[in-house]
Amino acid sequence: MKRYSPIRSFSKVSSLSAVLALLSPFIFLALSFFIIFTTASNSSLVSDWRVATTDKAAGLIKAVSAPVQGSIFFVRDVSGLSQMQAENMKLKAENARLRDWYQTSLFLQSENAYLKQMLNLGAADNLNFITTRQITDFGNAYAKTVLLAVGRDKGIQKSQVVMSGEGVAGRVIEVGEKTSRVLLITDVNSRIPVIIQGDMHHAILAGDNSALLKLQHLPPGVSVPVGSRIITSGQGGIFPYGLSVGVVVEGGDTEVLVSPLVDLKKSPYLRVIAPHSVQ
Amino acid sequence: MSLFLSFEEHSRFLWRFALVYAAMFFLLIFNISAFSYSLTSILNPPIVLMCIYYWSVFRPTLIPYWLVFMAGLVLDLLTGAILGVNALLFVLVRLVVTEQRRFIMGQPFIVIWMGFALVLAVSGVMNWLVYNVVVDHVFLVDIVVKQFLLGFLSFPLIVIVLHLTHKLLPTLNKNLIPSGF
Repeated sequence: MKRYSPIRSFSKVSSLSAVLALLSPFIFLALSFFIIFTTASNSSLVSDWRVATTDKAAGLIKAVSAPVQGSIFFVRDVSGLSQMQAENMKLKAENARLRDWYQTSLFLQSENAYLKQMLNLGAADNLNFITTRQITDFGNAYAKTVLLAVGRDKGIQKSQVVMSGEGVAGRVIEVGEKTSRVLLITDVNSRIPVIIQGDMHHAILAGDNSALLKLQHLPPGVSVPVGSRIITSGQGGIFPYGLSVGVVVEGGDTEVLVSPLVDLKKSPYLRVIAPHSVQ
Repeated sequence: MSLFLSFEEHSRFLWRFALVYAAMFFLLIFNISAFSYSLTSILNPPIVLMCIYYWSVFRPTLIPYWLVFMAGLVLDLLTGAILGVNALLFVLVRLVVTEQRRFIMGQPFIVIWMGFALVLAVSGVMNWLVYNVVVDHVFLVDIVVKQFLLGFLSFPLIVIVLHLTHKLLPTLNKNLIPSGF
Protein backbone atom coordinates (compact mmCIF):
# COMPACT_ATOMS: atom_id res chain seq x y z
CA MET A 1 0.00 0.00 0.00
CA LYS A 2 1.26 3.47 -1.01
CA ARG A 3 1.93 5.80 1.90
CA TYR A 4 0.70 9.40 1.71
CA SER A 5 3.57 11.79 1.12
CA PRO A 6 2.95 15.55 1.50
CA ILE A 7 6.10 16.31 -0.54
CA ARG A 8 4.91 14.12 -3.43
CA SER A 9 1.43 15.68 -3.38
CA PHE A 10 2.92 19.22 -3.30
CA SER A 11 5.10 18.41 -6.29
CA LYS A 12 2.01 17.04 -8.10
CA VAL A 13 0.16 20.31 -7.46
CA SER A 14 3.11 22.41 -8.59
CA SER A 15 3.56 20.34 -11.76
CA LEU A 16 -0.18 20.73 -12.49
CA SER A 17 0.07 24.50 -12.10
CA ALA A 18 3.15 24.49 -14.36
CA VAL A 19 1.19 22.62 -17.05
CA LEU A 20 -1.72 25.06 -16.68
CA ALA A 21 0.69 28.01 -16.92
CA LEU A 22 2.11 26.53 -20.10
CA LEU A 23 -1.30 25.84 -21.63
CA SER A 24 -3.13 28.97 -20.48
CA PRO A 25 -2.26 31.19 -23.49
CA PHE A 26 -3.56 28.51 -25.86
CA ILE A 27 -6.69 27.99 -23.74
CA PHE A 28 -7.43 31.73 -23.86
CA LEU A 29 -6.65 31.92 -27.59
CA ALA A 30 -9.08 29.06 -28.28
CA LEU A 31 -11.66 30.72 -26.04
CA SER A 32 -11.28 34.03 -27.92
CA PHE A 33 -11.80 32.32 -31.29
CA PHE A 34 -14.84 30.52 -29.92
CA ILE A 35 -16.34 33.79 -28.61
CA ILE A 36 -15.66 35.64 -31.89
CA PHE A 37 -17.30 33.06 -34.12
CA THR A 38 -20.26 32.26 -31.86
CA THR A 39 -21.20 35.86 -31.08
CA ALA A 40 -20.36 37.51 -34.42
CA SER A 41 -23.13 35.67 -36.24
CA ASN A 42 -25.63 36.40 -33.47
CA SER A 43 -24.80 39.66 -31.69
CA SER A 44 -28.01 39.49 -29.62
CA LEU A 45 -26.33 36.70 -27.63
CA VAL A 46 -24.04 39.22 -25.97
CA SER A 47 -26.32 42.22 -26.04
CA ASP A 48 -27.30 41.76 -22.38
CA TRP A 49 -23.62 41.45 -21.35
CA ARG A 50 -22.77 44.64 -23.19
CA VAL A 51 -25.63 46.52 -21.59
CA ALA A 52 -24.77 45.24 -18.10
CA THR A 53 -21.04 46.10 -18.51
CA THR A 54 -21.68 49.58 -19.86
CA ASP A 55 -24.22 50.29 -17.11
CA LYS A 56 -21.68 49.32 -14.47
CA ALA A 57 -18.82 51.24 -16.12
CA ALA A 58 -20.88 54.38 -16.86
CA GLY A 59 -20.18 56.00 -13.49
CA LEU A 60 -16.44 55.38 -13.81
CA ILE A 61 -16.32 56.65 -17.38
CA LYS A 62 -18.13 59.83 -16.33
CA ALA A 63 -15.79 60.29 -13.35
CA VAL A 64 -12.68 59.88 -15.52
CA SER A 65 -13.86 62.00 -18.43
CA ALA A 66 -15.37 64.90 -16.41
CA PRO A 67 -12.09 66.44 -15.10
CA VAL A 68 -10.29 65.93 -18.43
CA GLN A 69 -13.21 67.42 -20.35
CA GLY A 70 -13.32 70.31 -17.85
CA SER A 71 -9.61 70.96 -18.42
CA ILE A 72 -10.06 70.86 -22.20
CA PHE A 73 -12.91 73.39 -22.01
CA PHE A 74 -10.88 75.61 -19.64
CA VAL A 75 -7.81 75.65 -21.93
CA ARG A 76 -10.03 76.27 -24.93
CA ASP A 77 -11.84 79.16 -23.20
CA VAL A 78 -8.62 80.80 -22.04
CA SER A 79 -6.68 80.34 -25.25
CA GLY A 80 -9.57 81.03 -27.59
CA LEU A 81 -10.54 84.64 -26.69
CA SER A 82 -9.57 86.06 -30.09
CA GLN A 83 -11.35 83.17 -31.78
CA MET A 84 -14.43 83.93 -29.68
CA GLN A 85 -14.39 87.55 -30.85
CA ALA A 86 -14.29 86.48 -34.49
CA GLU A 87 -16.99 83.91 -33.81
CA ASN A 88 -19.11 86.59 -32.13
CA MET A 89 -18.95 88.78 -35.23
CA LYS A 90 -19.88 85.81 -37.38
CA LEU A 91 -22.82 84.94 -35.12
CA LYS A 92 -24.12 88.53 -35.21
CA ALA A 93 -24.12 88.46 -39.01
CA GLU A 94 -25.78 85.04 -38.98
CA ASN A 95 -28.36 86.28 -36.48
CA ALA A 96 -29.35 89.15 -38.76
CA ARG A 97 -29.72 86.71 -41.65
CA LEU A 98 -31.76 84.30 -39.50
CA ARG A 99 -34.17 87.08 -38.50
CA ASP A 100 -35.07 87.46 -42.16
CA TRP A 101 -35.46 83.70 -42.44
CA TYR A 102 -37.62 83.69 -39.31
CA GLN A 103 -40.11 86.04 -40.95
CA THR A 104 -40.10 83.88 -44.08
CA SER A 105 -40.58 80.67 -42.07
CA LEU A 106 -43.51 82.20 -40.12
CA PHE A 107 -45.18 82.99 -43.39
CA LEU A 108 -44.45 79.51 -44.80
CA GLN A 109 -45.63 77.83 -41.58
CA SER A 110 -48.99 79.56 -41.68
CA GLU A 111 -49.31 78.88 -45.41
CA ASN A 112 -48.39 75.22 -44.83
CA ALA A 113 -50.96 74.87 -42.04
CA TYR A 114 -53.62 76.45 -44.24
CA LEU A 115 -52.84 74.13 -47.17
CA LYS A 116 -52.86 71.07 -44.87
CA GLN A 117 -56.23 72.17 -43.54
CA MET A 118 -57.47 72.47 -47.11
CA LEU A 119 -56.23 68.93 -47.86
CA ASN A 120 -57.58 67.64 -44.52
CA LEU A 121 -54.11 66.40 -43.36
CA GLY A 122 -53.41 65.99 -39.63
CA ALA A 123 -50.73 68.35 -38.34
CA ALA A 124 -47.42 66.68 -37.46
CA ASP A 125 -46.40 66.73 -33.81
CA ASN A 126 -43.49 68.88 -32.75
CA LEU A 127 -40.57 66.68 -31.75
CA ASN A 128 -39.79 66.31 -28.05
CA PHE A 129 -36.20 65.64 -27.01
CA ILE A 130 -34.20 64.27 -24.12
CA THR A 131 -30.82 66.00 -24.19
CA THR A 132 -27.85 64.06 -22.87
CA ARG A 133 -24.07 63.76 -23.00
CA GLN A 134 -22.13 61.11 -24.89
CA ILE A 135 -19.81 59.35 -22.48
CA THR A 136 -17.66 57.29 -24.78
CA ASP A 137 -15.92 58.12 -28.01
CA PHE A 138 -16.61 56.56 -31.39
CA GLY A 139 -15.93 53.03 -30.16
CA ASN A 140 -13.22 51.88 -32.52
CA ALA A 141 -12.23 52.32 -36.13
CA TYR A 142 -14.58 49.55 -37.25
CA ALA A 143 -17.70 50.16 -35.16
CA LYS A 144 -19.04 53.70 -35.06
CA THR A 145 -21.09 53.80 -31.88
CA VAL A 146 -21.29 56.10 -28.86
CA LEU A 147 -22.64 55.59 -25.37
CA LEU A 148 -25.18 58.01 -23.94
CA ALA A 149 -25.59 58.77 -20.24
CA VAL A 150 -29.33 57.95 -20.27
CA GLY A 151 -31.16 54.65 -20.38
CA ARG A 152 -34.43 53.05 -19.36
CA ASP A 153 -34.42 55.29 -16.25
CA LYS A 154 -35.16 58.26 -18.55
CA GLY A 155 -37.57 56.37 -20.78
CA ILE A 156 -35.12 55.61 -23.60
CA GLN A 157 -36.19 52.78 -25.89
CA LYS A 158 -34.52 50.82 -28.66
CA SER A 159 -34.66 52.38 -32.18
CA GLN A 160 -35.18 55.93 -30.94
CA VAL A 161 -33.62 58.56 -33.20
CA VAL A 162 -30.66 60.57 -31.91
CA MET A 163 -29.78 64.05 -33.20
CA SER A 164 -27.17 66.70 -32.68
CA GLY A 165 -28.00 70.37 -33.06
CA GLU A 166 -27.27 70.11 -36.77
CA GLY A 167 -28.87 66.87 -37.90
CA VAL A 168 -29.45 63.15 -37.43
CA ALA A 169 -26.62 61.40 -35.53
CA GLY A 170 -27.96 57.83 -35.42
CA ARG A 171 -30.36 55.54 -33.60
CA VAL A 172 -30.41 53.70 -30.29
CA ILE A 173 -29.47 50.03 -30.67
CA GLU A 174 -29.00 48.93 -27.04
CA VAL A 175 -30.64 50.23 -23.89
CA GLY A 176 -29.46 49.64 -20.34
CA GLU A 177 -30.76 50.99 -17.05
CA LYS A 178 -28.51 54.07 -17.10
CA THR A 179 -26.85 54.00 -20.52
CA SER A 180 -27.77 53.44 -24.14
CA ARG A 181 -25.67 52.74 -27.22
CA VAL A 182 -26.18 54.69 -30.44
CA LEU A 183 -25.29 53.37 -33.87
CA LEU A 184 -23.96 56.41 -35.73
CA ILE A 185 -25.07 57.13 -39.29
CA THR A 186 -21.45 56.72 -40.45
CA ASP A 187 -21.32 53.07 -39.29
CA VAL A 188 -21.15 50.37 -41.93
CA ASN A 189 -24.42 48.87 -40.63
CA SER A 190 -26.39 52.13 -40.84
CA ARG A 191 -29.07 52.50 -43.54
CA ILE A 192 -31.52 55.44 -43.55
CA PRO A 193 -34.42 55.94 -45.98
CA VAL A 194 -34.06 59.49 -47.28
CA ILE A 195 -35.26 61.88 -49.93
CA ILE A 196 -33.42 64.58 -51.81
CA GLN A 197 -35.02 67.84 -50.78
CA GLY A 198 -36.40 69.67 -53.76
CA ASP A 199 -36.86 66.93 -56.35
CA MET A 200 -38.10 64.45 -53.66
CA HIS A 201 -36.37 61.37 -55.11
CA HIS A 202 -36.21 58.49 -52.63
CA ALA A 203 -32.91 56.73 -51.78
CA ILE A 204 -31.05 54.92 -49.02
CA LEU A 205 -28.22 56.67 -47.19
CA ALA A 206 -25.57 54.15 -46.18
CA GLY A 207 -22.56 54.52 -43.90
CA ASP A 208 -19.23 52.84 -44.62
CA ASN A 209 -17.20 53.88 -41.54
CA SER A 210 -15.66 56.81 -43.39
CA ALA A 211 -16.55 60.47 -42.83
CA LEU A 212 -18.87 60.52 -45.87
CA LEU A 213 -22.12 58.66 -46.53
CA LYS A 214 -23.19 57.00 -49.77
CA LEU A 215 -26.54 57.57 -51.47
CA GLN A 216 -27.76 54.20 -52.76
CA HIS A 217 -30.77 52.86 -54.68
CA LEU A 218 -31.48 56.12 -56.49
CA PRO A 219 -33.98 55.84 -59.36
CA PRO A 220 -32.13 55.22 -62.65
CA GLY A 221 -31.05 58.30 -64.56
CA VAL A 222 -31.34 60.65 -61.58
CA SER A 223 -28.43 63.07 -61.27
CA VAL A 224 -27.98 64.70 -57.88
CA PRO A 225 -26.37 68.17 -57.90
CA VAL A 226 -23.72 69.11 -55.32
CA GLY A 227 -25.22 71.05 -52.41
CA SER A 228 -28.55 69.18 -52.40
CA ARG A 229 -29.92 68.69 -48.91
CA ILE A 230 -30.79 65.17 -47.79
CA ILE A 231 -33.66 64.65 -45.34
CA THR A 232 -35.29 61.56 -43.84
CA SER A 233 -38.23 60.19 -45.82
CA GLY A 234 -40.12 58.73 -42.86
CA GLN A 235 -40.28 55.29 -44.50
CA GLY A 236 -39.48 52.29 -42.36
CA GLY A 237 -41.05 53.81 -39.26
CA ILE A 238 -37.84 54.62 -37.36
CA PHE A 239 -36.75 58.04 -38.62
CA PRO A 240 -39.62 60.57 -38.77
CA TYR A 241 -40.09 62.57 -41.94
CA GLY A 242 -38.11 65.73 -42.58
CA LEU A 243 -35.05 65.45 -40.33
CA SER A 244 -31.91 66.91 -41.91
CA VAL A 245 -29.15 64.35 -42.44
CA GLY A 246 -26.54 65.79 -44.76
CA VAL A 247 -25.53 67.72 -47.84
CA VAL A 248 -24.33 66.24 -51.15
CA VAL A 249 -20.63 66.97 -51.64
CA GLU A 250 -19.98 64.78 -54.65
CA GLY A 251 -22.88 64.53 -57.08
CA GLY A 252 -23.59 62.91 -60.39
CA ASP A 253 -25.48 59.81 -61.43
CA THR A 254 -22.96 57.10 -60.45
CA GLU A 255 -21.72 57.56 -56.90
CA VAL A 256 -23.24 60.28 -54.75
CA LEU A 257 -21.40 61.18 -51.54
CA VAL A 258 -23.06 63.00 -48.68
CA SER A 259 -21.38 64.90 -45.86
CA PRO A 260 -23.32 64.39 -42.60
CA LEU A 261 -24.45 67.56 -40.82
CA VAL A 262 -23.73 66.08 -37.40
CA ASP A 263 -20.28 66.87 -36.00
CA LEU A 264 -19.70 65.05 -32.70
CA LYS A 265 -16.33 66.73 -32.26
CA LYS A 266 -18.07 70.08 -31.80
CA SER A 267 -20.18 69.11 -28.82
CA PRO A 268 -20.61 66.01 -26.65
CA TYR A 269 -24.35 66.68 -26.29
CA LEU A 270 -26.95 64.76 -28.24
CA ARG A 271 -30.75 64.76 -28.29
CA VAL A 272 -32.86 61.62 -28.25
CA ILE A 273 -36.27 62.09 -29.85
CA ALA A 274 -38.99 61.04 -27.41
CA PRO A 275 -40.97 58.05 -28.76
CA HIS A 276 -44.35 59.75 -28.70
CA SER A 277 -42.99 62.42 -31.08
CA VAL A 278 -42.65 59.92 -33.89
CA GLN A 279 -45.75 59.29 -35.96
CA MET B 1 8.01 30.43 -3.64
CA SER B 2 7.64 30.48 0.13
CA LEU B 3 4.28 29.29 1.49
CA PHE B 4 4.22 31.75 4.37
CA LEU B 5 4.58 35.50 3.85
CA SER B 6 5.06 38.20 6.45
CA PHE B 7 2.46 40.98 6.58
CA GLU B 8 4.91 43.40 4.94
CA GLU B 9 5.74 40.97 2.13
CA HIS B 10 2.05 40.28 1.63
CA SER B 11 1.16 43.95 1.36
CA ARG B 12 4.08 44.65 -1.03
CA PHE B 13 2.95 41.71 -3.17
CA LEU B 14 -0.64 43.00 -3.33
CA TRP B 15 0.42 46.62 -3.84
CA ARG B 16 2.41 45.67 -6.98
CA PHE B 17 -0.62 44.06 -8.58
CA ALA B 18 -3.05 46.73 -7.41
CA LEU B 19 -0.92 49.53 -8.84
CA VAL B 20 -0.51 47.90 -12.26
CA TYR B 21 -4.19 46.90 -12.45
CA ALA B 22 -5.42 50.34 -11.34
CA ALA B 23 -3.18 52.11 -13.88
CA MET B 24 -4.30 49.75 -16.63
CA PHE B 25 -7.97 50.13 -15.74
CA PHE B 26 -7.66 53.93 -15.61
CA LEU B 27 -6.00 53.99 -19.04
CA LEU B 28 -8.69 51.64 -20.41
CA ILE B 29 -11.49 53.95 -19.22
CA PHE B 30 -9.50 57.00 -20.39
CA ASN B 31 -9.10 55.34 -23.79
CA ILE B 32 -12.82 55.07 -24.42
CA SER B 33 -14.04 58.28 -22.75
CA ALA B 34 -15.43 61.07 -24.89
CA PHE B 35 -13.37 64.25 -24.96
CA SER B 36 -14.72 66.68 -27.51
CA TYR B 37 -12.19 68.89 -29.33
CA SER B 38 -9.59 66.17 -28.91
CA LEU B 39 -7.74 63.94 -31.32
CA THR B 40 -9.37 60.92 -29.71
CA SER B 41 -12.66 61.97 -31.33
CA ILE B 42 -11.19 60.93 -34.67
CA LEU B 43 -9.41 57.71 -33.75
CA ASN B 44 -8.56 56.12 -30.44
CA PRO B 45 -4.90 55.29 -29.81
CA PRO B 46 -4.58 51.67 -28.65
CA ILE B 47 -3.56 52.55 -25.08
CA VAL B 48 -4.43 49.16 -23.57
CA LEU B 49 -2.30 47.42 -26.20
CA MET B 50 0.59 49.69 -25.19
CA CYS B 51 0.12 48.66 -21.52
CA ILE B 52 0.14 44.98 -22.44
CA TYR B 53 3.25 45.36 -24.60
CA TYR B 54 5.09 47.33 -21.90
CA TRP B 55 4.29 44.96 -19.03
CA SER B 56 4.91 41.89 -21.22
CA VAL B 57 8.45 43.20 -21.75
CA PHE B 58 9.27 44.47 -18.27
CA ARG B 59 7.02 42.59 -15.79
CA PRO B 60 5.09 39.78 -17.51
CA THR B 61 4.27 38.13 -14.17
CA LEU B 62 2.13 41.17 -13.29
CA ILE B 63 -0.19 40.66 -16.24
CA PRO B 64 -1.22 36.99 -16.33
CA TYR B 65 -3.08 35.67 -19.37
CA TRP B 66 -6.48 35.74 -17.68
CA LEU B 67 -6.02 39.47 -17.02
CA VAL B 68 -5.14 40.41 -20.62
CA PHE B 69 -8.00 38.22 -21.83
CA MET B 70 -10.46 39.97 -19.48
CA ALA B 71 -9.11 43.43 -20.41
CA GLY B 72 -9.75 42.59 -24.07
CA LEU B 73 -13.28 41.38 -23.37
CA VAL B 74 -14.15 44.48 -21.31
CA LEU B 75 -12.77 46.74 -24.05
CA ASP B 76 -14.84 44.87 -26.65
CA LEU B 77 -17.98 45.13 -24.54
CA LEU B 78 -17.54 48.85 -23.86
CA THR B 79 -16.57 49.92 -27.37
CA GLY B 80 -19.19 47.87 -29.19
CA ALA B 81 -16.50 45.90 -31.03
CA ILE B 82 -16.87 42.27 -32.07
CA LEU B 83 -16.65 40.35 -28.79
CA GLY B 84 -13.34 38.51 -28.44
CA VAL B 85 -11.30 40.44 -31.03
CA ASN B 86 -9.24 42.45 -28.56
CA ALA B 87 -9.08 39.49 -26.16
CA LEU B 88 -7.50 37.41 -28.94
CA LEU B 89 -5.02 40.13 -29.92
CA PHE B 90 -3.99 40.89 -26.34
CA VAL B 91 -3.35 37.22 -25.48
CA LEU B 92 -1.30 36.85 -28.69
CA VAL B 93 0.73 39.97 -27.93
CA ARG B 94 1.37 38.81 -24.36
CA LEU B 95 2.49 35.39 -25.65
CA VAL B 96 4.79 36.61 -28.44
CA VAL B 97 6.31 39.60 -26.64
CA THR B 98 7.07 37.60 -23.47
CA GLU B 99 8.95 35.10 -25.63
CA GLN B 100 11.10 37.93 -27.05
CA ARG B 101 11.48 40.00 -23.89
CA ARG B 102 15.02 38.92 -23.12
CA PHE B 103 16.13 40.47 -26.40
CA ILE B 104 13.99 43.65 -26.09
CA MET B 105 14.66 44.44 -22.41
CA GLY B 106 18.29 45.48 -22.59
CA GLN B 107 17.87 47.58 -25.72
CA PRO B 108 17.62 51.40 -25.98
CA PHE B 109 14.14 52.96 -26.09
CA ILE B 110 14.14 53.29 -29.88
CA VAL B 111 14.33 49.48 -30.23
CA ILE B 112 11.49 49.02 -27.73
CA TRP B 113 9.50 51.56 -29.74
CA MET B 114 10.21 49.76 -33.02
CA GLY B 115 9.21 46.49 -31.35
CA PHE B 116 5.89 48.08 -30.47
CA ALA B 117 5.55 49.37 -34.04
CA LEU B 118 5.86 45.79 -35.28
CA VAL B 119 3.29 44.53 -32.75
CA LEU B 120 0.97 47.42 -33.67
CA ALA B 121 1.25 46.75 -37.40
CA VAL B 122 0.61 43.02 -37.06
CA SER B 123 -2.30 43.47 -34.62
CA GLY B 124 -3.78 46.21 -36.85
CA VAL B 125 -3.74 43.94 -39.90
CA MET B 126 -5.18 41.02 -37.87
CA ASN B 127 -7.96 43.24 -36.53
CA TRP B 128 -8.70 44.42 -40.07
CA LEU B 129 -8.82 40.84 -41.37
CA VAL B 130 -11.17 39.67 -38.60
CA TYR B 131 -13.57 42.56 -39.31
CA ASN B 132 -13.49 41.94 -43.06
CA VAL B 133 -14.36 38.28 -42.52
CA VAL B 134 -16.93 38.69 -39.75
CA VAL B 135 -18.74 41.87 -40.88
CA ASP B 136 -18.64 40.81 -44.55
CA HIS B 137 -17.60 44.25 -45.74
CA VAL B 138 -14.30 45.33 -47.27
CA PHE B 139 -12.95 48.03 -44.97
CA LEU B 140 -10.48 50.54 -46.40
CA VAL B 141 -6.84 49.90 -45.52
CA ASP B 142 -6.44 53.55 -44.51
CA ILE B 143 -8.09 52.65 -41.16
CA VAL B 144 -5.10 50.41 -40.39
CA VAL B 145 -2.60 53.07 -41.49
CA LYS B 146 -4.24 55.86 -39.45
CA GLN B 147 -4.55 53.63 -36.38
CA PHE B 148 -0.91 52.61 -36.76
CA LEU B 149 0.36 56.19 -37.04
CA LEU B 150 -1.68 57.36 -34.07
CA GLY B 151 -0.53 54.43 -31.91
CA PHE B 152 3.08 54.74 -33.03
CA LEU B 153 3.27 58.48 -32.31
CA SER B 154 1.45 58.34 -28.96
CA PHE B 155 3.49 55.39 -27.61
CA PRO B 156 6.24 57.54 -25.98
CA LEU B 157 3.61 59.57 -24.08
CA ILE B 158 1.89 56.51 -22.65
CA VAL B 159 5.27 54.93 -21.84
CA ILE B 160 5.98 57.89 -19.54
CA VAL B 161 2.86 57.02 -17.48
CA LEU B 162 3.76 53.32 -17.50
CA HIS B 163 7.36 54.03 -16.58
CA LEU B 164 6.25 56.15 -13.61
CA THR B 165 3.97 53.32 -12.48
CA HIS B 166 6.91 50.94 -12.91
CA LYS B 167 9.09 53.15 -10.69
CA LEU B 168 6.42 53.13 -7.98
CA LEU B 169 6.30 49.34 -7.78
CA PRO B 170 7.73 48.09 -4.50
CA THR B 171 10.65 45.68 -4.80
CA LEU B 172 9.95 42.06 -4.02
CA ASN B 173 11.94 39.07 -2.87
CA LYS B 174 12.68 37.05 -6.05
CA ASN B 175 11.27 33.89 -4.45
CA LEU B 176 7.86 35.55 -4.23
CA ILE B 177 7.46 36.17 -7.95
CA PRO B 178 4.72 33.84 -9.29
CA SER B 179 5.06 31.82 -12.49
CA GLY B 180 2.34 33.86 -14.30
CA PHE B 181 -0.83 31.93 -15.17
